Amino acid sequence: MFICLENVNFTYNLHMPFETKALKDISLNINEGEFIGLIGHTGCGKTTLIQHFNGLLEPTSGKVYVEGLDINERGVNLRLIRQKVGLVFQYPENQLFEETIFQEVAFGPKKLSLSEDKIEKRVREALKMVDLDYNLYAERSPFSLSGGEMRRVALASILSIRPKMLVLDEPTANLDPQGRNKILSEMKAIHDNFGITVILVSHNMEIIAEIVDRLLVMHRGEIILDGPPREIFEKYADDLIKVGLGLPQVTRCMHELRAKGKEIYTGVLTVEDAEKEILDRVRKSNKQLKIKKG
Amino acid sequence: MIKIKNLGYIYHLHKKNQVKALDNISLEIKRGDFVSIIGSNGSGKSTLAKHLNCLLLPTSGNIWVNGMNTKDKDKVWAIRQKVGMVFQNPDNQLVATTVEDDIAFGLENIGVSERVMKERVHWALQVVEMEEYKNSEPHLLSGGQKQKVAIAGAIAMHSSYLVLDEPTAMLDPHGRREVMDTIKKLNKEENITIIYITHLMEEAAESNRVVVLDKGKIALMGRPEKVFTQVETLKKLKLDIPQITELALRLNQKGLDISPHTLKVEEMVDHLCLYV
Repeated sequence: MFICLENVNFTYNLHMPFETKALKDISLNINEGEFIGLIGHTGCGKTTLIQHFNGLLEPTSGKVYVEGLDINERGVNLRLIRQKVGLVFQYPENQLFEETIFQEVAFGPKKLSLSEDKIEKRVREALKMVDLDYNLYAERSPFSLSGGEMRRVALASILSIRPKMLVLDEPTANLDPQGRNKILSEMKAIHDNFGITVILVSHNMEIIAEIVDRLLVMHRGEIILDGPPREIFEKYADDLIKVGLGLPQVTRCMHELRAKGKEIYTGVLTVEDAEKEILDRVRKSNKQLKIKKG
Repeated sequence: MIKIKNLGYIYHLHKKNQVKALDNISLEIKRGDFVSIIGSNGSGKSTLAKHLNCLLLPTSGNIWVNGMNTKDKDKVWAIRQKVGMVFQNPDNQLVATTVEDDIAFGLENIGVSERVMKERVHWALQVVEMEEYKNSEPHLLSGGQKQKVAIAGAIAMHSSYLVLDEPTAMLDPHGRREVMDTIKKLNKEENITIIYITHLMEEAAESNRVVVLDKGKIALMGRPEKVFTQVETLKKLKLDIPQITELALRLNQKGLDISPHTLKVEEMVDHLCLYV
């Protein structure tokens, strides 16, 4: 088990007039190599939760273990934990500060006191992971790039530390469809090819449900659903709507058909899923009115 | 009416790094219209929006707002009063310590009487359904509520046009719905003209007219059901089409009698009820 949370509670402004309970008794296991989507309404505690994964926040009560180690114990080297668990915040491009992309991505490895050769190797490797050509980009200023590219540089600067787990908070916010798809497919590739555990945090279901294997749904500081996306869409659609998350259009379409008494599978995630399911149903029903042959 | 004729805009004009952001755009937006503007990053959407209330002035061509040319220095304030703007980040545009004060801010600047100010603030709060929050501190509101306050601030000035530059980009689905419902209400009930910039095709599908920008030019324009059926063109422009429209097109190609102009889940459900 990579990360384990036991009965974690977190309260902002404890014992103050604006005391807010942000996490309520969260217990959670994350295994190495998982590809997870963490989803919930704004203010439900997503960002608070992920800040517990590498000790940026300490629980008000409860325990957080990373590879079996209680990270909030005295004497734990949090630097090492933060090398293992890389957090990419919202709009990471706002954190870029170096003159060249090389220096930007080299910043982390430099702090690890690696040799020049090793640093360059890490930078090459990280830029490759986000599909930016080293020869074209290394010496350019990060501020000359498009929004999507800047975000990928920010991502590379975390990857160069070689984390075992990568947590990304709203990685696709404000990108156009192409920029969004690019980041998502890179995340998938990083997971598949390098075995890095990935957690995507978002309030937008359509964006992540399609690619993750496990979905965690948060509401008011609690994890209310945990399972494979298809199963959650099939069985708990009402709960998702109740907590203000909404369903992808195609999933909603299937649920509305079901509500009208039609026999149809509702656990669809994509347009392809929906198309296949509808065509299957049409074939099975006797109304083969206008289906073309072949 | 807003009339845009042969509008061109170049950033860093006369410098080495000049960028042509808008190229010969002509467009008319009539009173009461609800126009959405889509396009990939860098296609010129925000540049166009900033021209509508003199935040940018054309490098070439002209824009008239109710007959006033935006280049006419004497008309700047009159135009800005007519054309309200709401930007993406709700935290960057609220200035006062209470919701009420924030909405009154613009009115104070144009020196309306206290009685009128109170009336307008009250009316604006009512329209966006935020009356109960009038004494709240803006920073304690949700993202969707903040955007509604920003909208109220614009309409309190009695603007006839509201330009919204990706107002829902930072909101969750609930906040997005809240903002979209408010905008539709403004358009229908108060006859305010809406110019809505977005990345979300589902949102664009709710407008009357879609303008697709590409590299500073108008690539496509028309009713949403016409624009979103041009799948190949949209994909070439790096844009999505709404899921339901894509599903309708695919099923149509497989021979089901489903209109490829389907934009809404409800329409699709009605079509499908005949089959399954």
